[in-house]
Amino acid sequence: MKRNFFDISNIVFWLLAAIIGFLFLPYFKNGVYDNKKLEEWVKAFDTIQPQPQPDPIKEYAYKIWDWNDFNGKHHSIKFKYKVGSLASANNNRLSSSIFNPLGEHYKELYTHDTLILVDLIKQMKNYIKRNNLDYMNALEYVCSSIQDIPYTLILNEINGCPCEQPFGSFSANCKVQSDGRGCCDDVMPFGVYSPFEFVYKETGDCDTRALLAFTILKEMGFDVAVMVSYSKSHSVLGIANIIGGAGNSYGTNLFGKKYYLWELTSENWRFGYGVEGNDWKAALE
Amino acid sequence: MNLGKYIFGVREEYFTKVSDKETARQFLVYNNLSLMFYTLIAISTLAGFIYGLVLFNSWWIAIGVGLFLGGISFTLLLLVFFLNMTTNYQNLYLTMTDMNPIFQEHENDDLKNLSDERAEEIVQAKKMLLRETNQEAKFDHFHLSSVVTSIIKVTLILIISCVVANSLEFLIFHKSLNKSLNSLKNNATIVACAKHELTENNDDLNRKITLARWTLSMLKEDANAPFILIKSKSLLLSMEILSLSIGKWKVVLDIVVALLFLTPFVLLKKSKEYAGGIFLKEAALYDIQCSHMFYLISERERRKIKEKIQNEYPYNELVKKPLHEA
Repeated sequence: MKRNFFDISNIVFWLLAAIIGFLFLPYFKNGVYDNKKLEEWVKAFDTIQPQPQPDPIKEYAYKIWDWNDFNGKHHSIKFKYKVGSLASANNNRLSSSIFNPLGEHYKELYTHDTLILVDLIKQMKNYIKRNNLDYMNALEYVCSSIQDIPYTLILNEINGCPCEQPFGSFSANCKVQSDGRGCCDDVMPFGVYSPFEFVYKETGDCDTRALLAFTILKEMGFDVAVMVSYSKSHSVLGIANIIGGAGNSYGTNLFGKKYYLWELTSENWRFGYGVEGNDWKAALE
Repeated sequence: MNLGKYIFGVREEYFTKVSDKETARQFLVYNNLSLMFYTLIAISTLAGFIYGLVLFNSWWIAIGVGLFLGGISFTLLLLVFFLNMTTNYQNLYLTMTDMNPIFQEHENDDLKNLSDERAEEIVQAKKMLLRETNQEAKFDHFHLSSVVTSIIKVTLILIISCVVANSLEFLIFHKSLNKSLNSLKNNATIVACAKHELTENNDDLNRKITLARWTLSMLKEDANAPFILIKSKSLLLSMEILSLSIGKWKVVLDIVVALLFLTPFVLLKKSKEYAGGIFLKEAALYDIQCSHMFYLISERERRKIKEKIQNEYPYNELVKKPLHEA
């Protein structure tokens, strides 16, 4: 029987549909799926063989990070970082696409700068271990080191400083100022410094501070998040698996997981004080 | 059951002038095409449902994603199908796309006194004439733009098929994939790597540690969002493991699904039963008939209104007078 184009195409379509249906049968799956190929993939995690090569850069610079904690006790950490880290952190921030969502931008900064801040984090961790600090005291130890630094407004606008904001007026001076009225503009994108840039320059506003706290605490193993409120244009640190405190302010992630809020912009603001806003969402966790 | 009626509008009245055999054949080809279309939409909806389960681990969101992807595929495939449904009766096609020669035939007619019945007679006569004078389905009206639009259409279909193929692979191999992911979660090398502390002078090692920690965090199940289909929070990680495990078979499966999606497109493009079929010819004639009829009626009303304005409107009063007379 002579078949035309329609008949042949019709057969081909239903034959292909039948083949796809056939693929659900176990005989095919067993013959095709090969678990052994994963062994090669897992080798990428081997830390013994081949031996990962040390970084060729051996030159280090030092920075002293000192602060008074909530009880007035003075702390000082001298930590090292590779020469060129500031330029590297800066380049990494600027290379982030402006089309990235905010959380994705935070993630890129966090992933990159964690490696630069290894020594600082390690020394903080050692202090916590040595002094046998409990969960809350360890959190306060880290957060107070950030809160002790005076506030500096960070803007992503060119010539954005000086400016008037609902929470005060800010000068055009991008330096640490004891009255917390400093202002840095043209910090692209999103007006947030990377964690290492903040540690180096000691100038940062809400999200820069929350991101540094997140970077240190996450590396120490705390269940934390960078929380943002779009209605308040504000950012704070979020801590999970902890009793909320007197203020009981909290935000959630996509799945409803609760993070209790910790305001880091003020020197004496301790965990449990209420934070305004009811639309807090986890941007990075 | 006349499936073609719901998607392509294939109705009995189009075939009153053709033999029963030809009518039955046209119904067969359009019903088959509709069935292919429904099958592709069903597969796309299933694919969206699978992505919803993998990404959100929620049945309700998965249903929503399934309906969303099904809706997108429905719209895009329908668009591609309809764009390919062009009649091969070249003169009808050219008449349909440029009706001016037909309209010009009535320029000198007295349309002001045209009754609806007379208009219908004129239109039917024209339709009969066009039907009789267009007996051969032959199309040689080539335009470069058709090449460009064909490339866009094929690309669109391949994108949809690629999305669908990946999700079907997840469904087909989900049990084996879950075993692999579970073995990775408990793999001694990865766990040991993740437990390392980050070092100060070895970025290579730090990268491994960071990747190991990320991998384990992606494989860790949240108490408030348990895994449903694939035991991983990362779609890309699951895809990479699947791709590694099935190797070249993935390409074969992708091609099979791509061919499945392309077949109706090629069928519509190349089969003479569609472009050269009676349905599209009659549909084109019906389109011409409607345009012709509406032209006659609207032109009749236009001429009446024009005459009324010419006779009754006080033109002289509205003419702007020179300044010195004002």
